Amino acid sequence: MRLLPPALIAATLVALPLVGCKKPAGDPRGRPVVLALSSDPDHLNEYLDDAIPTADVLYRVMLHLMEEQPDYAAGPPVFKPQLASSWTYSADSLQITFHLRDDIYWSDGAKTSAYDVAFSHDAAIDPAVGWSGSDTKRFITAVVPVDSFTVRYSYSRAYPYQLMDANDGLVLPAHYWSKVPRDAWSADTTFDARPICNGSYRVEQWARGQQIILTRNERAPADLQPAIGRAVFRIIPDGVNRLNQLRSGEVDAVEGVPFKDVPTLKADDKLTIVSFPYFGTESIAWNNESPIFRDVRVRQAMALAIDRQQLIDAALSGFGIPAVAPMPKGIWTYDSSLVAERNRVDTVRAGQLLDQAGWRQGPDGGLRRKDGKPLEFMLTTSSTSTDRIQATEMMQQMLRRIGASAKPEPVELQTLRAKLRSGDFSAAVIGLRNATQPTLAPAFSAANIGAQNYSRYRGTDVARLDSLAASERNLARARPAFLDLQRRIMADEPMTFLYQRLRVNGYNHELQNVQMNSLSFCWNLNRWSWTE
Amino acid sequence: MLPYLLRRLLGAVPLLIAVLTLTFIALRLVPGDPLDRLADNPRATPAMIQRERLRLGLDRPLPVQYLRFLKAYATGDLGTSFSGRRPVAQMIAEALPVTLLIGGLALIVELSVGIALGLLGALNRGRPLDTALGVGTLAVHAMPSFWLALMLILLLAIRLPLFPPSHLHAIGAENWSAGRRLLDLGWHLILPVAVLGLGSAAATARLVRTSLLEQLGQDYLRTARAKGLSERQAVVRHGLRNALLPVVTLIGLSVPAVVSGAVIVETIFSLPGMGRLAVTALFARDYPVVLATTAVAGATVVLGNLLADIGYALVDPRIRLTGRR
Repeated sequence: MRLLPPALIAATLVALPLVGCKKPAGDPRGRPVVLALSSDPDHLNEYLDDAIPTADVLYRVMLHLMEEQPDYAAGPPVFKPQLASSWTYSADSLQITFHLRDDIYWSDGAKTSAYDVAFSHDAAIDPAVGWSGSDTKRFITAVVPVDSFTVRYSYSRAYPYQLMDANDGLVLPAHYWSKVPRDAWSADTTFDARPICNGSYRVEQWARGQQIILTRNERAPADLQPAIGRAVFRIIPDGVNRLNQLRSGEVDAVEGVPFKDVPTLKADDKLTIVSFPYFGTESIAWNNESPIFRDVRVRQAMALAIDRQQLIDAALSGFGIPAVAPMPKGIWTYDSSLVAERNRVDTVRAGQLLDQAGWRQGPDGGLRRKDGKPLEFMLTTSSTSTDRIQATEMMQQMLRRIGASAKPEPVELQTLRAKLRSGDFSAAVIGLRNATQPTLAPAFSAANIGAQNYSRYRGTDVARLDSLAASERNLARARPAFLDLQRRIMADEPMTFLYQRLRVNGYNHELQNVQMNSLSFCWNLNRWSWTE
Repeated sequence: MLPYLLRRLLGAVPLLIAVLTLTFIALRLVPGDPLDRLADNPRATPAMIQRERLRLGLDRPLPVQYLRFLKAYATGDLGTSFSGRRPVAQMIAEALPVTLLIGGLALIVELSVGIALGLLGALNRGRPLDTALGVGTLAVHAMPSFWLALMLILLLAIRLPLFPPSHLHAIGAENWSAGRRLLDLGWHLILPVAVLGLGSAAATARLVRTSLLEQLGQDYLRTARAKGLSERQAVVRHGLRNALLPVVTLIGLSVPAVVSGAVIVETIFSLPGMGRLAVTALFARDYPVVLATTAVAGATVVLGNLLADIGYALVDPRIRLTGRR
């Protein structure tokens, strides 16, 4: 057998790079924008896959009834027309009638109609479909098309988030999905291969695990037409590679920049770096049923020993804001006065509380003891988050100052979740994602022990008070109700809230009109454009 | 040979059932629940999670779940992914070709480079070239693949943009001709295949060198030289063939790795292969996908051993595949 001469191999290696290029320069459809995604969608149907990366793609190619605006600080979000051009409430507010645009076409030529809206609601609540957000529809009793472009939602009660609950979940093309049995939706591959879209973009190509190419939806009305004709979502699971490709210009936008890399990226004049509070709170869940932490004074003492700002400065490189209550900054039920009131370090008071609880320090200092047993426990956390592990180790030192021994115990994420669910832990450092619709019941209602009430808290009638606050339509009365409930819960210190992370994203400085927010890093992608 | 092969393949069936049964039990013993993924979803209520548990059949007793799983596998149904909610067979069908392509090319690199370097080392025993090869192969073998991958990307894709840093194709390749796409694919595979292949090639080179050195002192090589064969002819035609027996064992062991994928390389280079599929499923406690990837891995272990046995017979005609003692 003759082997390839080395010269031929060398020539091939030199020639290979010429066949491809970073971006298709001279693309007749214009310069595409390339966005990095950490994972690939499983389906292009929100009711089967509502992961965040999926929503990032799907919300560009399919429409909601309305466009949710990312402003939650003053009250429930404002909605702007999208598929619905307007909406009206009935006198008792138990019905909302949506008037749809009549110029929205699916990419196969059919018109998007009220029947699509009613069909999508029906699918959203069907257990055979199994949408994780199905319970957001629990107060909607009926969705009825009045005519082709008018649809009426009926509710069992009036509350501030009626619009949000109606808007959750995309509108699907009924003429396609009605032909597929609901329990067979997940096995359907035709739609994923040729999705029917009605948004600013349509899916041109989806190479699983590789990329999703969106191209301008020519059928979209002028006001929905995107400024950039093509958007490519590249699936890049490795965080280091995502950043490398942002810096080299392979991709134009990346979300979730590690804090340690921010100074380097900020120094790069080809990039723009933005940050905003993430709707998630880091906290310590004290197991309220454990022998040590069933005493509220012990939980309060621990909270007083923790210096939140020190954690933020060291573990998050400063990219965080102190958190002391379940509601995060950016939500209208957040109260900054709580931070001033509760964000303090007072080891003397902490020591007094522990003394009162019977945990006494010997004459030599050191570990406190009660009935001969030392004040020591495991501080369990997920091994996947390096900054959370660092924060846990710092808290070990902080708690040591008041005579408590907290041993960091990093475990695999699923193992941590199993421990939290079963109550097989003493204290756990966890991250909680906050809903944009304020509610305290999931994390603190006794009915949710074994589910999302990780601290196994049984105090205060959370479920009832939360329901009362959530159903109050007058926000001037609802806000104090939520604040009061937060104060009641925090007085029991079932969890100690630590900080809220900032989300740091980066994008090519040649892009303009970019608005990245807690909803999505490509929230207004159809309005992005390239500078001349 | 055919009856032997059939017997071996039939014998693999109970082995595979045992592997799957153990995996099924182990998955239930490790902490975690497939529905824990919904715990982070603020919209998923406990009632919804319970409905999902019923829909997936996770409320049934374990023996019932096991029997349903066995029955489904007997009919060729690999089930539906719990987290991805897609047919598992489809997910495997998408991931396997990528892994086979990368793993197969890496195996070719491993063998060709490894055998060539091993041969060079043995023929230059004690000389500076042998020493350099020994140090070089040891250094490459000792490098963690993630580090090597990131360094190659940094140097050859970012600083000196000769190769693409990830993916199978460049942006825009979907509009290119088949030939150009093929070249583009080759260009994209150079770095991941190099990372996977070179580390193993270093180990193969050391194995071949040692094995060949043992053969060089054998009588049959002296006879071959005495018959008038040149040193090169004697070593390549006779010595190398015998020295390759341990390499055949290595190939048998490498086949399962080729099919199971290399999670680190796949993740770093954004390649949607079996390794990433299996590890992601394991972290999500996606039982159907973990079981299916285990089944594929188990089957390739059997296949790898079978191929190794066939390889022995091809390399050494004294070995017969009768299956009888």
